[in-house]
Amino acid sequence: MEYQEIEEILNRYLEGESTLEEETILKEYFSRAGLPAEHLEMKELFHYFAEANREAAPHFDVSAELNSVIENEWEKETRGRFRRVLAWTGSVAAVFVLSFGIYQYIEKPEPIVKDTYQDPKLAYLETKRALLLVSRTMNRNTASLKYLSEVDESFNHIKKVAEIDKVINSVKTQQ
Amino acid sequence: MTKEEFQKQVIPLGDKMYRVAFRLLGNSETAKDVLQELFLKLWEMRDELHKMTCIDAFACTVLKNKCLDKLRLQKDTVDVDALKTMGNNPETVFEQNEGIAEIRKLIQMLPDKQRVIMQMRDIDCCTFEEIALLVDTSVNNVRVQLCIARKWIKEELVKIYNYGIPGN
Repeated sequence: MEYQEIEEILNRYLEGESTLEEETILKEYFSRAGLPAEHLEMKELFHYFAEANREAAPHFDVSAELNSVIENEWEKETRGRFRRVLAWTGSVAAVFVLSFGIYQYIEKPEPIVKDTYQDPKLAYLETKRALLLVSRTMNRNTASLKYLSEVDESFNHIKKVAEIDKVINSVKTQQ
Repeated sequence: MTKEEFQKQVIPLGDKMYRVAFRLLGNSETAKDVLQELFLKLWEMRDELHKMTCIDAFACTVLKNKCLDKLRLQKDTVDVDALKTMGNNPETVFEQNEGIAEIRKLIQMLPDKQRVIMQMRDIDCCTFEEIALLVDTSVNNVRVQLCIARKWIKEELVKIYNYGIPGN
């Protein structure tokens, strides 16, 4: 860094107009040995700044400390979240089980076929008896159906009336 | 903001924030406590942080308020001129160098506001914006105060070097 340049930055520094980068340049410059006599008092000042900076430095590892604080919080939150999810799914499952149970209780379908006989022989006899009953009842009722054929016969007689009608019509057309 | 982003973007501010807290409180243990409180608060707000253009400035504001709370508690009074305590930390131990002792004396002679501004800038490397936030003033005023303080210190140093008389 040229003397002239340092002088310029130094002036801006005294005016309160230098940037942090320029001040870093000054700090670096004044930490050197063998500076011109007119820069010695400023060298002393910058030496003080460097010392005071070291003095004010944290006496612990800031990043490590803060990272552990954050990790701790993160763990607490994650555990909390896991517990919340667990509680949530738990209650959903409970509601599901409960409603399924209620559904089962209310909508229990009646079995369509009820097995009433344990003994196959007895079951056979019972079935046979039931079928005979059906057949007997059917025979009795179909007996009365034979009268229906007589109705049919009577209708055949009525058909002759229609023939008379036809004859009358042909006589009418001949006239 | 995820944990990784927080660790990458926010935690690196810790060193400077500690220095500022130490500067404001003058006690390293309290500064450490405040630092942890600050980062817990920032962590809680991590979802809003990415919307902010300048996390540093926000962190500075929160830090300043936390420090003022601590100072009020310490002083046990409601309204305390916090600047008076700033920078006058008792934990100074190095005096082996005479020149440094002289400069320390000169810096203690500066008006409170000028002293704090100069320390924050020249020792703690804070930006003008951060200092303005921390001492409740404008960026322009920070420059002006800094200019006055630096020039005065330089004049006094020239006097000491030329005639060996410290102060006025």
